Amino acid sequence: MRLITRRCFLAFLSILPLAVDAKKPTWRQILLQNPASQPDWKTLINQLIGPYSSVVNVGLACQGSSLAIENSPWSEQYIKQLTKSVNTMENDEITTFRDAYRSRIKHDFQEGGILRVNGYILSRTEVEICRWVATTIDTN
Amino acid sequence: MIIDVNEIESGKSIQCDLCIIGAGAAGITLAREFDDSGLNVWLLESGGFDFEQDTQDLYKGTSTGRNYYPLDRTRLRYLGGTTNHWTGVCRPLDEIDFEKRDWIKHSGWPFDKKHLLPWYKKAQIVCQLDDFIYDVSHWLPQDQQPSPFIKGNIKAIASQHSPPTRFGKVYRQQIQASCNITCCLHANVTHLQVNKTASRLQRLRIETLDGILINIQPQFTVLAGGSIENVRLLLASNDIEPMGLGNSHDLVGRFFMEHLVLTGGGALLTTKGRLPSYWYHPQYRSRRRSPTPTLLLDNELQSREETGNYSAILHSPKRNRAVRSMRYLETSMRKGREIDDLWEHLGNIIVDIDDVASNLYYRSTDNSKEPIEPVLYQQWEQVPNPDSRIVLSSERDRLGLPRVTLDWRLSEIDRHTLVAGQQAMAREVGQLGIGRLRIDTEATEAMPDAVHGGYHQLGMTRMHEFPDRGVVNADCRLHSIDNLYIAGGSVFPTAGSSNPTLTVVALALRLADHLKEKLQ
Repeated sequence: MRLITRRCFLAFLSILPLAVDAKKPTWRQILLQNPASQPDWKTLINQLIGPYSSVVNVGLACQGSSLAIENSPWSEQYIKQLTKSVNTMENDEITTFRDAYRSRIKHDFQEGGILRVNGYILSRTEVEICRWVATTIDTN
Repeated sequence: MIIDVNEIESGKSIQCDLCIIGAGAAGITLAREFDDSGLNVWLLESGGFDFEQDTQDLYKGTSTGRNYYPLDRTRLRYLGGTTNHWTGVCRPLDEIDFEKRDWIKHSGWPFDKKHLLPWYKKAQIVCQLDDFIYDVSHWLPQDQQPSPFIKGNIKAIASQHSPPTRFGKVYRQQIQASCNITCCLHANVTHLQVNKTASRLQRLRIETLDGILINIQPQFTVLAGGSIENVRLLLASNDIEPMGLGNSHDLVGRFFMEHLVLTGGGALLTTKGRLPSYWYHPQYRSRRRSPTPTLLLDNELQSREETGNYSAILHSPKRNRAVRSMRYLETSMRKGREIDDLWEHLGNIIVDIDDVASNLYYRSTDNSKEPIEPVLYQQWEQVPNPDSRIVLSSERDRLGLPRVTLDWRLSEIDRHTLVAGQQAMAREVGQLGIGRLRIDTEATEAMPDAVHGGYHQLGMTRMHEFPDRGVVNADCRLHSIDNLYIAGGSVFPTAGSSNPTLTVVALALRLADHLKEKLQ
């Protein structure tokens, strides 16, 4: 007996975001692709670090955890330069920023600069940057 | 030939050249080596051709230490022994497992891995495996990228899969047809009778559950009844030596070791393409004989961090119930199939709507970025601990033999190995840009309860060149008894992280060569 047709299923999918929104409003941003409060930052974070929503989630998890860490000089410097050049950044600069970030993470893992956030073992730098995105960028 | 002990007249005394107690992986391997040798070989098996509850009950015992399985569930007592429920995973021990490691007390075998290699290669055939090649790159499918674990502190190795060989079924025909091997079923050895100086084994007392009693007087005897049974028989044969045979240094039964196992204690968060799919993909996992890539800590890290040996395997990521239900509905509708249990599937989807939404989101945006989480299976070495032991209890089985009590104890280094292994894995995958490791089961303060044994009972009659540190010598002969040998996992001085059957078979083949020289 074919109780469900393709049309039924599509209808189900169409109401899915509403159901999701009711259960966990943060998903609305992902599913409906709501623009972030500062679109430039969102695009940039996507390119430099990773999916914006994941970065914010990691940052929020760090904030909510008992991790009491101060930003390393490297992260401070990185954030400073990023803030300075956000509106004027060209493609080759994005690549430079991204490579520097990735290379620093690799260095962290090599040297044991790791932290545990919600069970995940992350590089200290990525924790610091994600926390900065969640607390400074996403809340503005 | 194969006979039942009930066919022998009660009270009879039998003489033979070699008597092997126990027809499991070690016993059958040994016996086969003497086929057509012209020597009179007896292979004694407590059970029959199939599982029998009365016989299996002889394994019953108690545990007082760390939580362990019921002792009668971990082994099988019929022709083929515990290979009858063996999963078939094979990997030789690593070089470091044979070495004396300063940070692990009681470590070190009397020989190195190189010495054992010829028998490992022969064992490979006995266990119906492929070539003796454990380099993971040799086994890679041609369409797959090379292993990313080349440099660094994590090394990759292949674990091979036996069909698995059920020794009692695969080699039954050969034993049946043999002119000089007599495999005697339902023959329970209840006593090892030594001479007055306890330097030579004179005869074995064999009893059945039906009350038949015979004696065997062998020139040489090999105890191959499984680690715990070997200990039980040595300790219970205490008429001449009150502490039990070979136990003048109180070592018999000590150093009980297991492989410590943690399944699903973590996962690797990655995305498609970052890690070659043969590392976790069900397609490769479902091919039973396709070798499984296994991750190990390299020697340098083990030495620096002072850990035992540690291995990890990535299992197929498990989709949760809601996503499986959604996929099922979708596929059924696309193919026009009938849908069973519609409301149950819809219920599953609604309960875990977050995961369904997440899955749909990733599928609708960029398929290649869908996160996947292969589950971590970790197996590591329990280091030798003299307080982890088997002793005889006051309870007796149907044959009047004392039952055993297991006091399984772990050491601090066992917990440390898990923590260091997980950290090393996390750092390696992060550094290589493969993904991030998630640790679900914490071991920072105490060994988690979820850590269990791998059904590998090792140690207890350990091998060492000096009698005050081992029960058997490098030839697997009891230090104190000229003609009594031991085969099986009980002679392992250390456990490594590899599944032990291949090494058990290799050691049995090595012992067979030694005995052939003795019996010439």
